[in-house]
Amino acid sequence: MSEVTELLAQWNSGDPEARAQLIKRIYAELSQIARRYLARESAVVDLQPTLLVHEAYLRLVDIDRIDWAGRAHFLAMAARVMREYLVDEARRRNAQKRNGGVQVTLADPSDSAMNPATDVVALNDALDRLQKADPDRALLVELRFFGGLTIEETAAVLDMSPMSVKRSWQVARGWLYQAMNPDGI
Amino acid sequence: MASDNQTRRVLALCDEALEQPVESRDEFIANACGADTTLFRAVSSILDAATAVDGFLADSAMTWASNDLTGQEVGGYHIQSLLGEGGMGAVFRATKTRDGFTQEVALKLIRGRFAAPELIDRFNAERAILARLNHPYIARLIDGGTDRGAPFLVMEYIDGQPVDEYLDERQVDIDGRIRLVQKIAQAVHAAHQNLVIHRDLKPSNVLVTDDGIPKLLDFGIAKLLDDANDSEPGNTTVYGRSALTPDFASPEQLLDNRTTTASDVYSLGVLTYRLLVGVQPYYLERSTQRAVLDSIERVAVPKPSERIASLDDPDAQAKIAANRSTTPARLNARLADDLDRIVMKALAQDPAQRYASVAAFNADLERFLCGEPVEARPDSLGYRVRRFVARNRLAVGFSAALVATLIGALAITSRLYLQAEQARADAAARFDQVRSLATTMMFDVYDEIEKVPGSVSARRLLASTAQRYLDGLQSSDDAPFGVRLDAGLGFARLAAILNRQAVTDVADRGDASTAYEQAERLLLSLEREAPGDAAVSLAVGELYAERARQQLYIDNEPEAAGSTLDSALERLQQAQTVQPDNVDVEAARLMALEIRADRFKWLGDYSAARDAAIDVATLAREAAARHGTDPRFSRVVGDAEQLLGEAHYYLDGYDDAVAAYTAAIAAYEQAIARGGPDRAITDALVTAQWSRGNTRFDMEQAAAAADDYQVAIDLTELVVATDPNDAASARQLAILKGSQAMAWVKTGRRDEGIARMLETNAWFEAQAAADPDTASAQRSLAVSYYVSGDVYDNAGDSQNACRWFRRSLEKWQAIDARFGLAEFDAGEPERIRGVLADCD
Repeated sequence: MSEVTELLAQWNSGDPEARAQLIKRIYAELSQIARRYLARESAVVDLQPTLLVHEAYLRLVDIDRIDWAGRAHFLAMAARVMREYLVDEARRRNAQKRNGGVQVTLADPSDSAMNPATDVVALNDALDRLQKADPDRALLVELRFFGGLTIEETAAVLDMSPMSVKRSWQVARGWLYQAMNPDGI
Repeated sequence: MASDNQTRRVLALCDEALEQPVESRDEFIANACGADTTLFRAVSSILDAATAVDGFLADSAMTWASNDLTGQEVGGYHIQSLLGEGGMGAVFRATKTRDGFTQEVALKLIRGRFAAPELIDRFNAERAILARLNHPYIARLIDGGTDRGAPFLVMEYIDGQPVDEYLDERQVDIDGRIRLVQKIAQAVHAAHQNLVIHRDLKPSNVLVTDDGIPKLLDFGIAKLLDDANDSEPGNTTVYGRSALTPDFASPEQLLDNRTTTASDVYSLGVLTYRLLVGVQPYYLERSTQRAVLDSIERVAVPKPSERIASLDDPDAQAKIAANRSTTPARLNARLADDLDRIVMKALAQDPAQRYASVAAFNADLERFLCGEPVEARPDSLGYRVRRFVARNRLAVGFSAALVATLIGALAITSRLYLQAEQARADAAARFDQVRSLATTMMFDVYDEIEKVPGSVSARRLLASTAQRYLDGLQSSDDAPFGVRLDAGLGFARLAAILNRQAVTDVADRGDASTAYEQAERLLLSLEREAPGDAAVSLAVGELYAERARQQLYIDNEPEAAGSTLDSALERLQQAQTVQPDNVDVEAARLMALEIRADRFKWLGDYSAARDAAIDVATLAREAAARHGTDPRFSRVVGDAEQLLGEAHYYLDGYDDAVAAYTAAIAAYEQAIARGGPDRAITDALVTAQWSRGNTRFDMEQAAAAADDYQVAIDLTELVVATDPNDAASARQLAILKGSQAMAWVKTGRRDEGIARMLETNAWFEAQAAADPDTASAQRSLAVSYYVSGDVYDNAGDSQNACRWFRRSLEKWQAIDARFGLAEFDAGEPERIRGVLADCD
């Protein structure tokens, strides 16, 4: 049994110390992978976040030896780690920004509106508020957005039907959008 | 701030609402909320946001993070920061430093790669077209290409705000908003004249700078991305990955994926609605693609003046009005009637019911602002105005790229045709279909575009596209007779097109000759193959007639034109013997006869010209009566009468000349009535009016002459208004005004005449200043100064007259020193010195 698999098993059985250690390990691993992707030469990064998470996962644990519940936990945690990592990165960048961003959007034809560069820090704050009122839904957002899981994967992790995940995700997006843009659409 | 409990309740209600079928959702929310309007608003706004804001959180965080290429180089540009992102890629602020100065740009990196080299070619070709779009209100496409396989576009960087935010923040009133919409419309119209359709007009695509200058983003980019997107497999949905925005898209775009200038009229209508009223005319159900299509079919657009009242929230109403510096009641009053009509006409479901062009929409907004009756109001305008506004009644419903696609299809089917023996029948059928489609596109469309002022570059593009198409056709040597005849006709048409362009642009002359030679070679070989075939005789006859036109009007070779015309008439006579009832043959023959009559004038033989013109006019008038709806015969009558007028002027006296010019004017008006607005006929009509005016001026009927000039001025002003870049028409207008100035002075309207003259002078001065290295621009100014002196002289102001004569002389001397005087002008300084001898 690898070290991570062992930590997972301990966490599953309720050891809080195992969780902290696990996060540390995964964080380091994910950061390394993320950095490698972000620094990649290619101008266009066709990055599949789910693959990224799976890659980290595969590197960390012996996948056959872990039950589904463990995997679900792991993915949820990986999503959390990703969130923390990206929010930290965004804060760091914001601190470095000299002029502050000029709010210019070049519309992207494929969307109703080109999203201004998603403000991850603002999203993080809104998500914190959502977490207080509806923690399950906040977790779903974490899995979908930060973890990059598909509807089906999210459904499996949360043990919900894909239809309910889809509805819940849609409502969460609407709520978050309202929370981040109080002036309306 | 809402408590967690409230938030939970709102979220739960949203979940439940989404479980309801789409059509009963609103009712469900209303029932569940009862009198609790706060709850109702909260639930509605979340669901609206969830369906309307597609892109939000659509990509996962890692994709977002990986889009941030800050600090990297793409295509030689240094990425500074991420501006925005979406399904198709990301936009960055980037810089490039060259020769010590730094250019700031917006760089759009398109996700995905081109699978096939042809797609890169197409991307680059289309990009080149867009790069030529040069308008103060359009953000320029500067550069583009591929970097490590990824396509990117570089655009002018605009530091501005989306138009809706800009207007709200400054609380701009309705009139101010309309004026901004008009500028946007100008930009869209200019693009349409270049055959570029925006396809995705919406507030976020219109940025306004601090100076109030709108800049339209991403012109034609939607199409470009759509094409690039073809490289991705599984791209079969109607609009699923297509680049448009459902709430701003026209019904035909959503339902048939059909985009024309009329779709831009619609989207501009939605945008205008949004800017005037503050909310969308409607929100489409977006849950599934099917739902979008269903709801656009069902959509009923409320009038702008009724839309605000339909909002339940009085605060929202007050806010919308406040953002327009007014009250809800006043706002509704301002929108009611005319603005309602204008916006609703732009938003008609049926493209044919909309404004025929963005220019027409814009013109109606102008009328509204000026308090004039709008076109959207039924039966409000007089015949003449409608007629000439209708000149733009043309939806340029295609883009050059579509033609290019057809040519690609043609090349493929033609290869199939030649290669696969067993598939020959199938391939031949497809080949024929594509061929007829391509021919229609190329030539019928060309004819339509030609009627639109200001489409020179579009025409040139089409001509070069046509050339490629024809080269493809011609290369199939064993192609059937009909195909080769098509190619021959195509080259003949191309030669004609290039000839007409050559009048203004010398560069096209060589191309015209080449096209002509190719046509002649193909058609003469067909003639040998099938002697006596009426279609071939007609084609050869028309080709020679066109050739004669070139020899006469462009190359100034009347002798050569004579023998070419004989060959033309021989063929057309032959065709008419075989098919006496063929109207095309008859029209071609009459046109050739008219050229022959005109040729006598060029030889200086006015007597022969007069006799021939009378014959042609008689024949053409008789044919025009027989073919009641065909404008071609009326046109020939007009041309012949105009020639006759000129001959009479020199030979028989003014009265006969005026009668002939009057007949010419009537004939041209008939041609326009029969065939609709036509730029060439309008030009001929202007010439006829001007000539009649000149004749009357010589007859000492200055008042009648001034009236003739006024009609010519009105007609020309409409042309210039629709296309400020049409230099020839602007020049014509200045000349007409100069003529009128003299006529007015002669009738005692001294001050008006002098004012007109100074107007003319100012125009020529501006031209001369803008073009200091061109002799003709300087020469025109010298002439204009002289005419000014003449006008003052006739007005009895000898002091000013002498002043202008002197300036004219100085100008001539400057021209002589700089360029030398042409033989024709050599005596001019001496003549003016003679006039100046009478001055002190």
